[in-house]
Amino acid sequence: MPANGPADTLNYFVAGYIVIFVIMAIYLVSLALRRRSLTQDLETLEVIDQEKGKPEPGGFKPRLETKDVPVQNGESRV
Amino acid sequence: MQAQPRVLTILDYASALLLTLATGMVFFYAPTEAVMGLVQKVFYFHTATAWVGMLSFTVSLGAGIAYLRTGNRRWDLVVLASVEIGMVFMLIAIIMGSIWARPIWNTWWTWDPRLTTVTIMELIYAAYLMLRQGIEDPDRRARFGAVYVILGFVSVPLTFFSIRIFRTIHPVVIGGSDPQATGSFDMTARMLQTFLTSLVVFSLIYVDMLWHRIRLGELADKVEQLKLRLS
Repeated sequence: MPANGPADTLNYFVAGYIVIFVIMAIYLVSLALRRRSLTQDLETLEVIDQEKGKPEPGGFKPRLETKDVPVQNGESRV
Repeated sequence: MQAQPRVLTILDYASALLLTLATGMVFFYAPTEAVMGLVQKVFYFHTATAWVGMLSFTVSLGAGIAYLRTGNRRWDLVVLASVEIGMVFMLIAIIMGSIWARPIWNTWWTWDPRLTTVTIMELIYAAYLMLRQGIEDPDRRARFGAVYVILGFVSVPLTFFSIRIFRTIHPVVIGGSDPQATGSFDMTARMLQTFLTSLVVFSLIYVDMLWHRIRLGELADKVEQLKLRLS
C-alpha cells in the first residue's frame, strides 16, 4: 500500500458488492422456483386425491354381465 | 395455497428500499478509509451478513429447543429455514472477507483462528441439511435435526469469540483489537452510522427471508403429507 493517500482498491470493493448482490439474487430466485415447483406438485396431487375419492360412474361396484350366465334359484353364477 | 399476508408484502418492499438506502450510505455517505481505501467499505456488509448468519444459527438453536419441548412441527420448519438463510449469509460474509483480505493481508485465505472456526461452523450446518435429506420419516427427521442444531451451536460462540481468545490477524472492530491484527481502523461518526444502519437493514432482510422460507416449508410439508396419504 502507498505511504501517501489511500490504496487503490476499487476493484476489490466492486467485486465484494457484486458478490453479495449476486448470491442474494440467486437465493431469492431459488426460493421462487422451489415455491412454483411445489405449487404445481400440490395442484397435481389435489387432482389425484379428488379423483381417488370420487365414486366411479354407475356406483363403486362394476356391473356384472349376466346375460349368458344361467340363473338358478335367483343367484347368478359368474 | 394461502395468499401472501399483507404485512409480508410491506416487509418485502421495506427490505428492498432499506437495502438500497444502506448501499447508498456505503457508496456515498461513509468516508473512504485513509490507508485501505475503498475496499474497507466491504466491512459494512461483511459484518452485517456475518451478524445475520450468527443470528440465524441462534434462532435455529431456540427453535430446536422449542421443537423438543413441544413436538410442534412448525418449530422444525423454523430450524430448517433459519439454518438455510444463515448458511447463505455466512457464505457471503466469508467470500466478502476473502476479497477484503487479498489487498490487505496479501492473500485470499489463511488458516487464521477466525477463518478456521467460521469454515467449521459453515460445514457443520451444511451437514445438518445433508442429515435431513437422509431421513424419510418427518418426525424422526425433525427430532434428529433439533438435537443436531443444539449440538452444532457450540461452533457459533467459538467462532464469535475466536478473535478475542486466540492470537489472530483478523481485526476486532468493536471491543478492542489484538496488536497482531492487520486491517484495523477507528470508526468515524459517519462510519458508525453506516455500520449500524447495515446491521439493522440486514436484520430486517433476515426476518423477511425467514418468513418466506417458513411459508415455503409449510407448502413442502403439505405436499409431503399429501404424497404420504396417496401412497
